[in-house]
Amino acid sequence: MRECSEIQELLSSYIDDFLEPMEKEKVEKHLENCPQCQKELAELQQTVQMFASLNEEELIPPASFRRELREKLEKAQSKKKVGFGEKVAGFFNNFKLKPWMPLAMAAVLLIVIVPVAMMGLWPLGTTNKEMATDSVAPEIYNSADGEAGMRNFSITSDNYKTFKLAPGASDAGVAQEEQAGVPETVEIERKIIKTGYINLEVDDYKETTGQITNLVEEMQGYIVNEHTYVYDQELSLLAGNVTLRIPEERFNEALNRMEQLGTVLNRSVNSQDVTEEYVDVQSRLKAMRLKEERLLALLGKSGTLGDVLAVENELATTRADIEALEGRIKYLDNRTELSTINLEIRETLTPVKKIKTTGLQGVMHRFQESFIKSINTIIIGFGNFIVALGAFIPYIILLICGIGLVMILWRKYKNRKS
Amino acid sequence: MFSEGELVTRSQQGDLDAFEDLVARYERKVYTIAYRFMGNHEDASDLAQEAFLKAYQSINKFRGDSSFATWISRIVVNVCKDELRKNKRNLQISLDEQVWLEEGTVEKQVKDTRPTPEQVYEQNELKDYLQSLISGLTPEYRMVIVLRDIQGYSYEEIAQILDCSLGTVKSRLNRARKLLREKIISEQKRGGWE
Repeated sequence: MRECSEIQELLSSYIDDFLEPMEKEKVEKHLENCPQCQKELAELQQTVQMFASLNEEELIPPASFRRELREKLEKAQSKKKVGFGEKVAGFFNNFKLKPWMPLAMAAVLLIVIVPVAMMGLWPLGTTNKEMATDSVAPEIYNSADGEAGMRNFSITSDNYKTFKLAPGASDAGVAQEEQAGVPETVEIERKIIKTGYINLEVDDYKETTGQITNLVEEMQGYIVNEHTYVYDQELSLLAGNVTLRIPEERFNEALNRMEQLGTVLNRSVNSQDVTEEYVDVQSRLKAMRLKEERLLALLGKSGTLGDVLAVENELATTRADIEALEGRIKYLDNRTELSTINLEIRETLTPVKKIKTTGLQGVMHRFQESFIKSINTIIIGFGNFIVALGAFIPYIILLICGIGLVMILWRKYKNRKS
Repeated sequence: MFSEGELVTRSQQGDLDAFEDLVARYERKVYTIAYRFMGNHEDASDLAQEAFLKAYQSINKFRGDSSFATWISRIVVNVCKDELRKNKRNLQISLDEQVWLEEGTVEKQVKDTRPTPEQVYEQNELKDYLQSLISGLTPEYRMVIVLRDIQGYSYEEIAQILDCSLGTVKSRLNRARKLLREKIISEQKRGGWE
């Protein structure tokens, strides 16, 4: 009967005539002598035939079949064109976590976030740079003008220096001798030299200088020097430097009033505290005076001609020193009592005399400026946007993951329900 | 009337009407396969539609290596296969629901022999009974029975469709037929059907 079960395994294929010739022969041989298996075969054949009868029949789909299908097809066709959302949904629907996915995710994060993080720094860097150049530009501009003023000033101070240096060199030595003997407290009053510089652009040079002269007189100051020259031959425009001395207490007032005269291109104020030097010079002066008295006393006593001559010589030097020191004191007093203002005035075309193009002069420049400004604003905005994006990306990723999860769960829930 | 090839080409260009012509030609075949697999009209209708939808979406992949009939049959078989795998849990329930599902009005096919109303009834009863037997099988057996004994695919084709070896097809078919035979015999003994 072992053979029977073996044969019965082959009967199915025998019915379909799907046996190797050898097997077929074997089955047929067995069937001849085995009624059991014959019955089995008959039953099996009957069964197969019964089911084959189902094939004769072709079922007709329900009436709504084609209409529904048409709707689905049209939907699919429009989806083909639009359906990004569906694609995303489909992606999450068919989403299966594969082993490479976390790795890929990490790689994507690395690729996306690192540059964004770096870009996040980049726009800030540029804006800083922009701001820096913005602020540097006028500085350069100023210093160019300022230098001129400074030169002006340093030249004048050089003059004073030379004036001062000749006597000063000698009194240094004397002072050293005498200083120890004169321990005196002087009432200390702050001595400050104030120097102001204004670069003005005016409509009419001559009118302005007239106004300045009046101003100076009114303030009981004086004009130290005035230098006028034509800086534009073609349009015969004037420019010039004026150096003023103004009483120290009216210094600020004077500066402010001068600024009203035209367009201020540059303005600077410099204060120099000379109290220390002043005190020093004063004490040296006192020492020198004592020395003078003593020498005079010596002169009164009789002595050899040589002695008298020596004393006279010494007395002369001392007196020169005293004068020099007094000069220094006077200078310092003068400097501190009267502040110096250096004015640099330049005439520009007046609106009355000629059609003034100055209104348009800066247009291209201003256009450029505002254009660049806007571009910078956009760049800054873009930078900020990227920074913000960088900040939001983790949340966005979380959000997407969350939405995907909810979608999957919802689909599953829906499927189960249906 | 266009040839099948022309209809396919036009469908590939996105002509929905051309594709509908193809649907009209093959809807019965597709629907019947789906019904044999699923054993009820609702699922059959849904799956047949899904099969056509898939066919339309991937029509550009159809290169004409096989006939369109084979191609679309294969799609519906795959759709049903997937559905059966998905619904393994629901199998028992659907069996109960399907067995005597009497909505035969649409599928009633009157043969040219012009049978009597009783005969028609009996015939349909027999068919419903056979269908219920198929539906009682596990998806693996159900598929081979439908493909071989009802659709008449060759062993090779079935192996290809189910993505398994010829040996597997043979043994599954053998086992499925035996199961069906045993069921029929036991029913006969109980006197349920004759």
